[in-house]
Amino acid sequence: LIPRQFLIAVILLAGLVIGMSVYVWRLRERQVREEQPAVQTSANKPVAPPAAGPTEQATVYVAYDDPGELRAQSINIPLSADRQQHAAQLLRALLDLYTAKGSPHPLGPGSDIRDVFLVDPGIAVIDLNSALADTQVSGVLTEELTVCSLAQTLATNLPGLVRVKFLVDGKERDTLAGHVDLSNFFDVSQVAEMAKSLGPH
Amino acid sequence: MIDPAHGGIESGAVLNPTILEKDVTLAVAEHLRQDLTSRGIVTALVREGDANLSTDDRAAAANLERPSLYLSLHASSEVGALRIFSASLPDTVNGGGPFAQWESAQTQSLAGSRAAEQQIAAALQTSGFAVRQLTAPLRPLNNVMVPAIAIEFGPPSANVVQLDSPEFQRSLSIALANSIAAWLSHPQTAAPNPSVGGAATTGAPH
Repeated sequence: LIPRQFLIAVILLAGLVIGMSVYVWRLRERQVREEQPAVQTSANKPVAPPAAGPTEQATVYVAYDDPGELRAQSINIPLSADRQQHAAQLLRALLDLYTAKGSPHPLGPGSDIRDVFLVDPGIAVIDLNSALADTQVSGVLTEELTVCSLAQTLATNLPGLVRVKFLVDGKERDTLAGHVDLSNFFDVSQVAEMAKSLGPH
Repeated sequence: MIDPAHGGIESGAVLNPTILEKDVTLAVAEHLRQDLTSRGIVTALVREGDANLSTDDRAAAANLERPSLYLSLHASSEVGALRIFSASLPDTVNGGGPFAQWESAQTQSLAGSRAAEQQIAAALQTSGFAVRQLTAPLRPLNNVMVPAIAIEFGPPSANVVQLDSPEFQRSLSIALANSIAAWLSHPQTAAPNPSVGGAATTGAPH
């Protein structure tokens, strides 16, 4: 005969084991549910555009130190469908012109765009690196050409853009190289007026 | 009011290892003060020596004095450069009540600034200078409440040292003084300016 107390203890232990199993099974199910959206998000992430591939035509505004002008030029480059990457690619194409040998508007080696952020409604934040700002030739016109070239190129290629703001290394900066004011936002209409006055004369 | 740009720890452009923009602008400003004074025009400098002034300090000095013209001088190493700039103001900066906003204080005088820019440029051109008229986002022009322009000049040839020569500085100063005196001697109608919605009349010079 099995003693009654022993039987009760076995039944209680069996109940506890079954309860713990159900609890662990539910915990595991919840964890799987929480992990699923993360997997989906990473699967939906935009794929970086190929460095080479089908190209698109875009208009960029190129600064010419001699004779101090901004000229609209057509270029063909691979462009991403993602607006933010599209913007960064356009500006990097411009900087490639400026850092190349025989540049019409030389910028120092290592000059780059750290990032371009597009913020609703219609704001573009262009984050320049310090190599660009620190090697920019100091002067009213030459600094204006750099700023206007970048801002007008974005304004022309990104419909709906209203204002542009410049940062350097992710931070606010008073001027680009001692002259042109970077502390405020630039209205697209203001940039267009500047580009017009800097146009071929 | 003449403002030799930069000064103190802020040297401006390093035109060559020994010539700094802040020194050239001060030297030309001193010549210009003398040339304007000799034409009977009361003239003040925003800085007399190698003072360290912020752009806000400079705008505050101009707004306190209320001169007929605020003229900021800049020097560049670009050969033959002579450019006159008026402020480039964002359209989205709106006026707020009875007080002018600091960022757009120039709005009320922009038509007058552009008229001065146009007339001084025309006078300089008749003296044989090739002048460009531009707008620029350049402090403290947008913080000044009176007609305000900036002039950027370069050496007449590839030799940057010319910027430091008293002969060059004097000839530039005389041309500028003649042009400013011609503008001040005639009350002018402001140039049409699409960004401020039409023409206005500049006040009589004092």
